Amino acid sequence: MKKFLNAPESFVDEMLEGIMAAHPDQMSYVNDDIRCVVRKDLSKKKVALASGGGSGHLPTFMGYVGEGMLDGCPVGGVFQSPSSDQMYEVTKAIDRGAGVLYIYGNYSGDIINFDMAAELADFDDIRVETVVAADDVASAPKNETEKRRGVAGIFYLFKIAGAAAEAGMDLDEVKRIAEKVNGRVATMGVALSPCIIPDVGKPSFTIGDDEMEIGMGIHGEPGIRRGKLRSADEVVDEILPKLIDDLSPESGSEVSILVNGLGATPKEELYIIYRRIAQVLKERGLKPVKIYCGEFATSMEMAGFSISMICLDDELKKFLAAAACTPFFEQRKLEL
Amino acid sequence: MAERTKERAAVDTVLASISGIMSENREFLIKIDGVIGDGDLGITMDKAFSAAAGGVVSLDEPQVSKALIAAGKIMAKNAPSTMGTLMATGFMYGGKALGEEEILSAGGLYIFFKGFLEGVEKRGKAKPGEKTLLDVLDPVVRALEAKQKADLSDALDAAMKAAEEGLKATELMVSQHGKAAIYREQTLGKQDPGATAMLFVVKGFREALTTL
Repeated sequence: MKKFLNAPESFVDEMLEGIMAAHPDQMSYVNDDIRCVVRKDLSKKKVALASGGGSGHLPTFMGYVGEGMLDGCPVGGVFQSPSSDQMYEVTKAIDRGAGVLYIYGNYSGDIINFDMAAELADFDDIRVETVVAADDVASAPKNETEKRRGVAGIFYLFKIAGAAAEAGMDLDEVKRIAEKVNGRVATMGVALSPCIIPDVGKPSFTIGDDEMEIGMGIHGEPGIRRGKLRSADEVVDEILPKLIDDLSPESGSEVSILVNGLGATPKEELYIIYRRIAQVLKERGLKPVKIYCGEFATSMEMAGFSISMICLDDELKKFLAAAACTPFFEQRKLEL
Repeated sequence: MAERTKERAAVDTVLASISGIMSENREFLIKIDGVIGDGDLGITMDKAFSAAAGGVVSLDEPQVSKALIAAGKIMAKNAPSTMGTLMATGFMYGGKALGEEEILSAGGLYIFFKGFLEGVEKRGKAKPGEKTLLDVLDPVVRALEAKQKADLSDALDAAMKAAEEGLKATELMVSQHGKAAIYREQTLGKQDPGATAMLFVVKGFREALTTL
């Protein structure tokens, strides 16, 4: 293992100390626990959004704490859920009387801890609602979407629900919008190399030098097919039609695409991927209105990428276009 | 610190006993969880119960139910893995169900484990038969239900027997939940790691309460 570390067991806390030192104007923490990350400015009265999950996926999750996206985020160990107690402390800190919406990925540890935190918050009369992101089409078929893993498509939930909350919508409305996004976003990934959890110190799985694994999860969960590495265009041609089939947008639909690097794939390659995506969208009669290309949900140093596609309507487009400003993601207001 | 009643002291003994068993079986749990899960079960169970045992013994809380709830809260804080949180939930709900009842009777034990079961079912959204800790917990509760008026040691023997049979039965099941669900059919023939940890909890109760 070759990594820039001081000690594997202090990986998460030292990362957080670095982030807090770099962005003191945007981020803070509560309850004397650096793993309970909250937005610095919590003065505006609005529905609060919280996410959370294991470390090792930056910018997901805490990187999206800021204006127009999340208000708070408990941070767990690498690929481990934060505790219900940390979620509860964050929930108390970010609630401004308008309630809190939890948006997190579909993993059992996160679900039980967030459920428990919601129960604790309920004792304090804080209203909490939950939307569980489940966008990975490789992890379960369309008739079992409740079993799907949450991966990079969760970015769209943060962005769009975040903008709706910022615009002053109430908790039921923000939840409705987050659920709408959830039903209209699909993701699939491909991996070329494994990731290493610092505490474990060795790769989570092995994959041959000339191989790729289609549909792999962001913790190294097995995918749907392993085979010889093929050209960028061929890989896009295998993945993108699966997303289009899953969402079955009408011809002429407006879509937004997120090409996400998993940690060790350069942007150059991501744009080679997007080049082919643009061609396929055109062939299929789909209109891309906003493209995000970069690292949005990573898996330590895993090489590979994922493609997320969301089918927009006027309401979602309006919130996607809104401004957002977090330490890891900034967008000015767009005219889409 | 107020003097412990026999009942309250039993909570300390039970947690120390479970903690000891988890610590002895740390590597075993890591091994069986590594085959069909992510391999951290031994670490989280050891951490959860050693924290709970240490916390509860130094806690100035005379009431049995509140001490058990506190044990759950300590676990939730120290071991937020799936199984850590489910165990924490079980102790919190079991303790809450107990109310004024005490655990040195077959009836009290039944109330505690019934509450434990309800909490885990609610939190984990699983059903018996899906290869989880419920496949040990559910038969244990049914065995205790039948022994409510029995001797404490009779009830504990029945609970332990039900736990062993329940664990054995998980070998014929296919995992539906958590990280093990990824392995599906590969989980056939293997005992469920979470159910194994649950059996250790029952074993801890039995060893602690029958030696008092």
